[in-house]
This record gives sequence, C-alpha cells and structure tokens, in this order.
Amino acid sequence: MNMWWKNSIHLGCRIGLIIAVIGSVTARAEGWGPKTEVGNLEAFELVGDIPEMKGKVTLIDFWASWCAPCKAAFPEMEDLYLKHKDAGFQIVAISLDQKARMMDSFLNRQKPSFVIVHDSKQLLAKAAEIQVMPSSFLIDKKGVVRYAHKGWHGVKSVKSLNEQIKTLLDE
Amino acid sequence: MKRLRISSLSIWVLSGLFLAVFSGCATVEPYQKGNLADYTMRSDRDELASVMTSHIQFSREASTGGAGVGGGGCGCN
Repeated sequence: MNMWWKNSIHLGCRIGLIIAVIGSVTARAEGWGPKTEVGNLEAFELVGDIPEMKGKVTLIDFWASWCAPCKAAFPEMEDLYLKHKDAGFQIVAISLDQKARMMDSFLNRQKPSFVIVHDSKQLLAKAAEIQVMPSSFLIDKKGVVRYAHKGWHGVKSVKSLNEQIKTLLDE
Repeated sequence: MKRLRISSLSIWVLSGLFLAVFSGCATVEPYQKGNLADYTMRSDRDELASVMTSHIQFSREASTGGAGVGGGGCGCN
C-alpha cells in the first residue's frame, strides 16, 4: 500500500475516534434547569389546553401511567394544588404515555382537578432532557424555571415543594 | 519495524470500525420505558411457571432460592 494512503487512513481513524469520543461526552444537550426560560409550549404538539403561565407560579410535572412513583405523587400534588391555587398556583401535569388509553384509564380513577396535557410524541420531554421519572419543574411568575425536582420522595418532596411554592408566590 | 507499523494501523482501523458499528446502539430514555415497565416483562408474572422453574432448578443444582430480584420495572426513581 502506498505510504500516502496509509497515512491518510491512519489520520482518518484518529480524527474519527476523537469525534466519536467528543460526541459521546457531549451527547446530552442541556435540558431544563434553574434559570431556563420556558417559552411557548404550543410548539411541542401537546394534546390538551395549556394554561397561561405568566403571572402564575406553575408546577410542570412529567409523569406516565406506567411509573409507580409518578402515580404516588398525584394525591399529594392534588393537595398542594387545592391549598395554593387561590394564591396563584397551578399544576400542569404532562403525561408521557405513548398510549392515551393507559393515561385515560389512570385519570378516570384518580380524577385530578389540575391541568393534564399529553405529550404523545414526547417532544417536550426530549427538549427538557428528562432523566428521571417523575421530574417536575417549579416555574415562577415570569416563566423561568426556579426549582427542579427529580423523582418523588414522599413527605420530603411535599415539604420542599410547599416551601418553594410559598417562596415563589410571595415574590 | 515494518510489522509494528502495520499492526498499529490495524488497531486504529479496527477501533474506527468498532466505533462505527457500535455507535448505533440506542439508549432508552427514562420516559420511553413504558414497555419495560409493563406487567408482561416481569419474570414472576406466572406463579405456576415460577414454581416449576424453581423445582427444575432445585433438581439440577441441588439448591434453591437466589431468585429474589425485581424483574422489569421502570427504574423511575
């Protein structure tokens, strides 16, 4: 084999390896986190009515009917919603179920009074870089993510959410 | 000296090929685990099958137990 070709293959492989390594390290783009401005959610082809978030403290909760901790959080979220809704708090629970039938089956039993939206194509979940189920984001009156919660930890989650909601409502 | 160079080149080529082939592996995102969390993914969903499997294992291995791990599940929290 010609020396030039050998060197070219060698160089190509090295560049390929470097690109692959860099790609694997930076594969996860930055999702939602504190200080992320939540823009227009209409762009994510969500099924359901998305309420106006400006001027209200909003908890966006990503859940699915197949996720036990997500379902365990619903009664507690209902309590939080009923407790703070008159002060300007709202919950938007975004279902990531791929089958609407499963989501409806759970909702028919649970009957939450807060807003439920279906992200059937999981576009918003992808944009938010959801890494744990459930994940929730507390958004202030200006539409900026202030607190992010990963997973559901029962009383501990309720306590911290309660304090954070109060803090944001007082601002 | 010549043999060493060829070997080094082969390693680089093989590494490149390995990455090219296996970079196609997809990661299941946490919100895509609906099927994995399904009841049908559980290894202990059929009680009779579990008993039979346990009996066969006991006959072959002269021991029993050690199957107390959770199967399937969403791995949510």
